Amino acid sequence: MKSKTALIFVIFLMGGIAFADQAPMASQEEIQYTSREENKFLAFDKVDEFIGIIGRLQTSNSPTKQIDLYQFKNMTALKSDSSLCSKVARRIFGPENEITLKKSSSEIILSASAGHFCSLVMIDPDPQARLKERHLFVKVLHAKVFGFVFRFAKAPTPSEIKDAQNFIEGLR
Amino acid sequence: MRFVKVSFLTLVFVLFFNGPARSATQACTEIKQLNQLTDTEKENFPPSFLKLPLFLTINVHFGYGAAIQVLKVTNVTTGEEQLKAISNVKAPSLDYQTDCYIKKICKIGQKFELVLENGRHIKTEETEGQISVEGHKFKKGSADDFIKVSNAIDEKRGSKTKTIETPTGPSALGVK
Repeated sequence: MKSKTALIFVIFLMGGIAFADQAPMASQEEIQYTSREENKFLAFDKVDEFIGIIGRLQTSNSPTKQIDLYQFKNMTALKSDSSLCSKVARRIFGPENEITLKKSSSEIILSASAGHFCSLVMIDPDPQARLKERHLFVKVLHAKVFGFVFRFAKAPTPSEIKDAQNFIEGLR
Repeated sequence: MRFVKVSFLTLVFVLFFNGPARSATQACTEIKQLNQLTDTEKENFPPSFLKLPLFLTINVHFGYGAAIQVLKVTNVTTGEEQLKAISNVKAPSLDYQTDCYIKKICKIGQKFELVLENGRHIKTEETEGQISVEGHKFKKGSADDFIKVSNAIDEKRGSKTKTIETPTGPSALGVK
Protein backbone atom coordinates (compact mmCIF):
# COMPACT_ATOMS: atom_id res chain seq x y z
CA MET A 1 0.00 0.00 0.00
CA LYS A 2 2.84 2.33 1.02
CA SER A 3 4.79 1.58 -2.15
CA LYS A 4 1.65 2.28 -4.22
CA THR A 5 1.27 5.69 -2.55
CA ALA A 6 4.96 6.44 -3.09
CA LEU A 7 4.64 5.48 -6.77
CA ILE A 8 1.63 7.77 -7.21
CA PHE A 9 3.56 10.57 -5.50
CA VAL A 10 6.61 10.07 -7.77
CA ILE A 11 4.38 10.08 -10.89
CA PHE A 12 2.67 13.23 -9.61
CA LEU A 13 6.08 14.85 -8.99
CA MET A 14 7.39 13.85 -12.42
CA GLY A 15 4.22 15.21 -13.98
CA GLY A 16 4.85 18.49 -12.22
CA ILE A 17 8.41 18.65 -13.48
CA ALA A 18 7.46 17.66 -17.02
CA PHE A 19 4.79 20.35 -17.24
CA ALA A 20 6.59 23.13 -15.36
CA ASP A 21 5.33 26.45 -16.64
CA GLN A 22 7.38 28.72 -18.84
CA ALA A 23 7.28 32.49 -18.46
CA PRO A 24 5.92 34.13 -21.62
CA MET A 25 9.07 36.26 -21.91
CA ALA A 26 12.81 35.94 -21.38
CA SER A 27 14.77 37.75 -18.71
CA GLN A 28 18.42 38.66 -18.35
CA GLU A 29 18.09 37.32 -14.82
CA GLU A 30 17.33 33.82 -13.62
CA ILE A 31 13.60 33.69 -12.95
CA GLN A 32 11.05 31.17 -11.77
CA TYR A 33 7.54 31.43 -13.15
CA THR A 34 4.49 30.12 -11.28
CA SER A 35 1.34 30.19 -13.37
CA ARG A 36 -2.08 30.80 -11.84
CA GLU A 37 -2.92 27.25 -12.82
CA GLU A 38 -0.36 25.81 -10.41
CA ASN A 39 -2.34 26.99 -7.42
CA LYS A 40 -5.66 28.55 -8.35
CA PHE A 41 -5.78 30.36 -5.05
CA LEU A 42 -2.95 32.63 -6.19
CA ALA A 43 -5.54 34.32 -8.39
CA PHE A 44 -7.97 34.71 -5.47
CA ASP A 45 -8.26 38.49 -5.83
CA LYS A 46 -7.00 38.90 -9.37
CA VAL A 47 -8.71 39.74 -12.63
CA ASP A 48 -8.76 37.23 -15.49
CA GLU A 49 -5.69 38.79 -17.15
CA PHE A 50 -3.48 37.74 -14.22
CA ILE A 51 -1.41 34.86 -15.55
CA GLY A 52 1.12 34.15 -12.81
CA ILE A 53 3.96 35.23 -10.59
CA ILE A 54 7.57 35.82 -11.54
CA GLY A 55 10.14 35.05 -8.86
CA ARG A 56 13.60 36.57 -9.22
CA LEU A 57 15.99 33.87 -8.06
CA GLN A 58 19.04 36.08 -7.64
CA THR A 59 17.20 38.59 -5.47
CA SER A 60 16.96 37.50 -1.86
CA ASN A 61 14.60 38.95 0.76
CA SER A 62 13.88 42.02 -1.30
CA PRO A 63 10.41 43.44 -1.91
CA THR A 64 11.26 43.34 -5.62
CA LYS A 65 11.63 39.55 -5.54
CA GLN A 66 8.05 38.67 -6.56
CA ILE A 67 6.15 40.25 -9.42
CA ASP A 68 2.51 39.75 -10.39
CA LEU A 69 2.27 39.20 -14.12
CA TYR A 70 -0.69 40.15 -16.31
CA GLN A 71 -1.15 39.66 -20.02
CA PHE A 72 -3.78 41.62 -21.95
CA LYS A 73 -4.66 39.54 -24.96
CA ASN A 74 -7.47 41.85 -26.03
CA MET A 75 -5.20 44.91 -26.15
CA THR A 76 -2.84 45.62 -28.99
CA ALA A 77 -0.10 48.23 -28.93
CA LEU A 78 3.27 48.85 -30.47
CA LYS A 79 4.61 50.85 -27.55
CA SER A 80 3.69 51.69 -24.01
CA ASP A 81 2.24 55.18 -23.41
CA SER A 82 0.30 56.87 -20.61
CA SER A 83 -3.06 56.02 -22.15
CA LEU A 84 -2.18 52.32 -22.29
CA CYS A 85 -0.83 52.50 -18.75
CA SER A 86 -4.11 53.99 -17.46
CA LYS A 87 -6.12 51.39 -19.34
CA VAL A 88 -4.09 48.54 -17.84
CA ALA A 89 -4.24 50.07 -14.33
CA ARG A 90 -8.02 50.38 -14.60
CA ARG A 91 -8.29 46.73 -15.54
CA ILE A 92 -5.98 45.49 -12.77
CA PHE A 93 -7.08 47.74 -9.89
CA GLY A 94 -10.53 49.00 -10.95
CA PRO A 95 -11.83 52.44 -12.01
CA GLU A 96 -9.59 55.12 -10.49
CA ASN A 97 -12.36 57.23 -8.95
CA GLU A 98 -14.25 54.26 -7.48
CA ILE A 99 -11.51 52.37 -5.69
CA THR A 100 -9.70 52.75 -2.38
CA LEU A 101 -6.19 52.52 -3.82
CA LYS A 102 -5.08 55.97 -4.96
CA LYS A 103 -2.84 56.77 -7.90
CA SER A 104 0.12 58.79 -6.69
CA SER A 105 2.18 59.11 -9.85
CA SER A 106 2.68 57.86 -13.35
CA GLU A 107 5.54 58.33 -15.75
CA ILE A 108 6.95 57.16 -19.02
CA ILE A 109 10.40 55.70 -18.73
CA LEU A 110 12.72 55.96 -21.71
CA SER A 111 15.30 53.27 -21.93
CA ALA A 112 18.00 53.17 -24.56
CA SER A 113 18.06 49.38 -24.50
CA ALA A 114 14.40 48.55 -23.86
CA GLY A 115 12.43 51.37 -25.51
CA HIS A 116 9.44 52.97 -23.75
CA PHE A 117 7.60 51.55 -20.81
CA CYS A 118 5.39 53.22 -18.29
CA SER A 119 5.17 53.13 -14.55
CA LEU A 120 2.26 53.94 -12.27
CA VAL A 121 2.11 53.93 -8.45
CA MET A 122 -0.99 53.02 -6.44
CA ILE A 123 -1.08 53.68 -2.69
CA ASP A 124 -3.30 52.04 -0.10
CA PRO A 125 -4.44 54.80 2.32
CA ASP A 126 -5.06 52.28 5.11
CA PRO A 127 -2.37 53.16 7.72
CA GLN A 128 -2.14 49.47 8.65
CA ALA A 129 -2.03 48.16 5.09
CA ARG A 130 0.37 45.27 4.70
CA LEU A 131 0.93 46.32 1.09
CA LYS A 132 1.36 50.05 1.14
CA GLU A 133 2.38 50.59 -2.47
CA ARG A 134 1.86 48.78 -5.73
CA HIS A 135 4.12 49.78 -8.62
CA LEU A 136 2.73 48.86 -12.01
CA PHE A 137 4.95 48.72 -15.09
CA VAL A 138 3.39 48.27 -18.51
CA LYS A 139 5.58 46.98 -21.29
CA VAL A 140 4.87 45.85 -24.83
CA LEU A 141 6.84 42.77 -25.82
CA HIS A 142 6.46 41.38 -29.35
CA ALA A 143 3.23 43.43 -29.75
CA LYS A 144 1.76 41.84 -26.61
CA VAL A 145 0.78 44.02 -23.65
CA PHE A 146 2.06 42.93 -20.25
CA GLY A 147 1.51 44.42 -16.80
CA PHE A 148 4.02 43.84 -13.98
CA VAL A 149 3.06 44.69 -10.41
CA PHE A 150 5.69 45.02 -7.67
CA ARG A 151 4.14 45.11 -4.20
CA PHE A 152 5.80 46.97 -1.32
CA ALA A 153 5.01 46.81 2.42
CA LYS A 154 6.38 50.35 2.76
CA ALA A 155 7.46 53.10 0.39
CA PRO A 156 10.34 51.65 -1.64
CA THR A 157 13.79 53.18 -1.59
CA PRO A 158 15.17 54.80 -4.76
CA SER A 159 17.46 51.79 -5.21
CA GLU A 160 14.52 49.38 -4.96
CA ILE A 161 12.65 51.39 -7.60
CA LYS A 162 15.74 51.39 -9.81
CA ASP A 163 16.10 47.64 -9.29
CA ALA A 164 12.48 47.10 -10.38
CA GLN A 165 13.02 49.28 -13.48
CA ASN A 166 16.22 47.43 -14.35
CA PHE A 167 14.36 44.13 -14.19
CA ILE A 168 11.64 45.41 -16.53
CA GLU A 169 14.29 46.79 -18.89
CA GLY A 170 15.95 43.37 -19.02
CA LEU A 171 12.83 41.55 -20.23
CA ARG A 172 12.74 40.45 -23.85
CA MET B 1 -38.26 7.47 -31.76
CA ARG B 2 -34.73 7.31 -30.46
CA PHE B 3 -34.18 10.94 -31.47
CA VAL B 4 -37.31 12.00 -29.56
CA LYS B 5 -36.06 10.13 -26.49
CA VAL B 6 -32.63 11.79 -26.65
CA SER B 7 -34.20 15.22 -27.17
CA PHE B 8 -36.52 14.71 -24.21
CA LEU B 9 -33.63 13.65 -21.98
CA THR B 10 -31.58 16.64 -23.14
CA LEU B 11 -34.49 18.96 -22.34
CA VAL B 12 -34.89 17.45 -18.86
CA PHE B 13 -31.13 17.77 -18.29
CA VAL B 14 -31.05 21.43 -19.38
CA LEU B 15 -34.10 22.34 -17.29
CA PHE B 16 -32.78 20.50 -14.26
CA PHE B 17 -29.39 22.20 -14.29
CA ASN B 18 -30.32 25.66 -15.57
CA GLY B 19 -33.72 26.09 -14.01
CA PRO B 20 -32.63 26.74 -10.41
CA ALA B 21 -29.78 29.02 -11.51
CA ARG B 22 -32.14 31.16 -13.56
CA SER B 23 -34.73 31.40 -10.83
CA ALA B 24 -32.18 32.22 -8.06
CA THR B 25 -32.71 35.77 -6.89
CA GLN B 26 -29.78 38.11 -6.49
CA ALA B 27 -29.53 40.88 -3.90
CA CYS B 28 -26.39 42.93 -3.34
CA THR B 29 -25.16 45.19 -0.55
CA GLU B 30 -22.56 47.88 -1.18
CA ILE B 31 -19.89 47.98 1.52
CA LYS B 32 -19.71 51.53 2.77
CA GLN B 33 -20.87 52.04 6.33
CA LEU B 34 -20.77 48.58 7.82
CA ASN B 35 -22.21 49.60 11.18
CA GLN B 36 -25.23 51.17 9.51
CA LEU B 37 -26.41 48.10 7.65
CA THR B 38 -30.11 47.38 7.86
CA ASP B 39 -31.33 43.91 8.80
CA THR B 40 -32.34 43.33 5.18
CA GLU B 41 -28.85 44.28 3.98
CA LYS B 42 -27.28 41.97 6.57
CA GLU B 43 -29.28 39.09 5.09
CA ASN B 44 -27.18 39.45 1.93
CA PHE B 45 -24.02 38.76 3.94
CA PRO B 46 -22.63 35.30 4.53
CA PRO B 47 -23.45 34.67 8.24
CA SER B 48 -19.73 34.51 9.13
CA PHE B 49 -19.19 38.02 7.78
CA LEU B 50 -21.48 39.49 10.43
CA LYS B 51 -18.87 38.99 13.12
CA LEU B 52 -15.46 40.25 12.10
CA PRO B 53 -12.60 39.67 11.91
CA LEU B 54 -13.11 36.34 10.22
CA PHE B 55 -10.24 33.87 10.00
CA LEU B 56 -10.19 31.11 7.40
CA THR B 57 -7.47 28.53 7.03
CA ILE B 58 -6.34 25.54 5.00
CA ASN B 59 -3.46 23.80 6.78
CA VAL B 60 -0.24 23.36 4.84
CA HIS B 61 -0.12 19.87 3.26
CA PHE B 62 2.07 18.71 0.39
CA GLY B 63 3.32 22.26 -0.06
CA TYR B 64 -0.12 23.85 -0.38
CA GLY B 65 -1.93 25.96 2.22
CA ALA B 66 -3.78 29.23 2.68
CA ALA B 67 -4.94 31.64 5.36
CA ILE B 68 -7.40 34.49 4.87
CA GLN B 69 -8.45 37.21 7.26
CA VAL B 70 -11.49 39.38 6.50
CA LEU B 71 -11.55 42.53 8.59
CA LYS B 72 -13.12 45.94 8.81
CA VAL B 73 -11.02 49.01 8.02
CA THR B 74 -11.90 52.68 8.10
CA ASN B 75 -11.00 54.63 5.00
CA VAL B 76 -8.96 57.60 6.25
CA THR B 77 -9.98 59.70 3.25
CA THR B 78 -13.75 59.19 3.33
CA GLY B 79 -14.32 57.89 6.87
CA GLU B 80 -16.29 55.00 5.38
CA GLU B 81 -16.01 51.54 6.86
CA GLN B 82 -14.82 48.96 4.37
CA LEU B 83 -14.12 45.28 4.17
CA LYS B 84 -10.64 44.08 3.41
CA ALA B 85 -9.41 40.52 2.85
CA ILE B 86 -5.78 39.70 3.44
CA SER B 87 -4.41 36.36 2.42
CA ASN B 88 -1.31 34.22 2.72
CA VAL B 89 -1.01 31.50 0.13
CA LYS B 90 1.47 28.69 -0.15
CA ALA B 91 2.21 26.88 -3.39
CA PRO B 92 5.10 24.38 -3.55
CA SER B 93 7.41 26.87 -5.23
CA LEU B 94 6.43 30.11 -3.49
CA ASP B 95 4.79 31.85 -0.55
CA TYR B 96 2.54 34.72 -1.51
CA GLN B 97 0.80 37.47 0.41
CA THR B 98 -1.79 39.89 -0.85
CA ASP B 99 -4.85 41.93 0.13
CA CYS B 100 -7.91 43.39 -1.53
CA TYR B 101 -10.97 45.52 -0.82
CA ILE B 102 -14.46 44.04 -1.06
CA LYS B 103 -16.83 46.41 -2.86
CA LYS B 104 -20.09 44.56 -2.42
CA ILE B 105 -21.56 41.28 -1.31
CA CYS B 106 -24.33 39.56 -3.20
CA LYS B 107 -26.62 36.78 -2.15
CA ILE B 108 -27.56 34.52 -5.03
CA GLY B 109 -29.99 31.89 -3.89
CA GLN B 110 -28.31 30.18 -0.95
CA LYS B 111 -24.80 31.16 -2.10
CA PHE B 112 -22.82 34.38 -1.83
CA GLU B 113 -20.56 36.33 -4.13
CA LEU B 114 -17.94 38.85 -3.06
CA VAL B 115 -17.36 41.56 -5.64
CA LEU B 116 -13.92 43.15 -5.29
CA GLU B 117 -13.04 46.72 -6.23
CA ASN B 118 -11.24 45.50 -9.35
CA GLY B 119 -14.43 43.78 -10.51
CA ARG B 120 -13.41 40.24 -9.62
CA HIS B 121 -16.27 38.04 -8.40
CA ILE B 122 -15.49 35.44 -5.71
CA LYS B 123 -18.01 32.70 -5.05
CA THR B 124 -18.44 31.56 -1.46
CA GLU B 125 -20.65 29.03 0.24
CA GLU B 126 -21.07 28.38 3.94
CA THR B 127 -21.62 25.12 5.71
CA GLU B 128 -21.18 24.11 9.33
CA GLY B 129 -17.64 25.16 10.37
CA GLN B 130 -16.49 25.55 6.78
CA ILE B 131 -16.54 28.14 4.06
CA SER B 132 -15.92 27.28 0.47
CA VAL B 133 -14.11 30.08 -1.38
CA GLU B 134 -13.94 29.53 -5.14
CA GLY B 135 -14.22 25.82 -4.49
CA HIS B 136 -11.43 25.75 -1.87
CA LYS B 137 -12.74 24.49 1.48
CA PHE B 138 -11.54 26.67 4.37
CA LYS B 139 -11.96 25.99 8.07
CA LYS B 140 -13.38 28.82 10.15
CA GLY B 141 -10.94 29.46 12.95
CA SER B 142 -9.40 31.92 15.37
CA ALA B 143 -6.66 34.52 15.10
CA ASP B 144 -4.30 31.85 16.52
CA ASP B 145 -5.20 29.44 13.69
CA PHE B 146 -4.56 32.19 11.16
CA ILE B 147 -1.17 33.05 12.71
CA LYS B 148 -0.21 29.36 12.94
CA VAL B 149 -0.93 28.69 9.25
CA SER B 150 0.57 32.04 8.17
CA ASN B 151 3.75 31.27 10.07
CA ALA B 152 3.89 27.78 8.57
CA ILE B 153 3.67 29.49 5.17
CA ASP B 154 6.31 32.05 6.12
CA GLU B 155 8.75 29.61 7.72
CA LYS B 156 10.33 28.76 4.38
CA ARG B 157 11.02 32.43 3.86
CA GLY B 158 13.09 32.38 7.03
CA SER B 159 10.93 34.86 8.88
CA LYS B 160 7.84 34.71 11.04
CA THR B 161 4.76 36.69 10.05
CA LYS B 162 4.91 40.11 11.61
CA THR B 163 2.07 41.86 9.86
CA ILE B 164 -0.79 39.89 11.36
CA GLU B 165 -3.59 42.04 12.75
CA THR B 166 -4.97 40.80 16.02
CA PRO B 167 -8.70 40.92 16.87
CA THR B 168 -7.95 43.73 19.31
CA GLY B 169 -6.24 45.86 16.66
CA PRO B 170 -7.92 49.11 15.62
CA SER B 171 -8.75 47.82 12.16
CA ALA B 172 -10.23 44.57 13.34
CA LEU B 173 -13.45 45.58 15.04
CA GLY B 174 -16.46 43.34 14.59
CA VAL B 175 -19.56 44.30 12.62
CA LYS B 176 -22.34 44.74 15.15
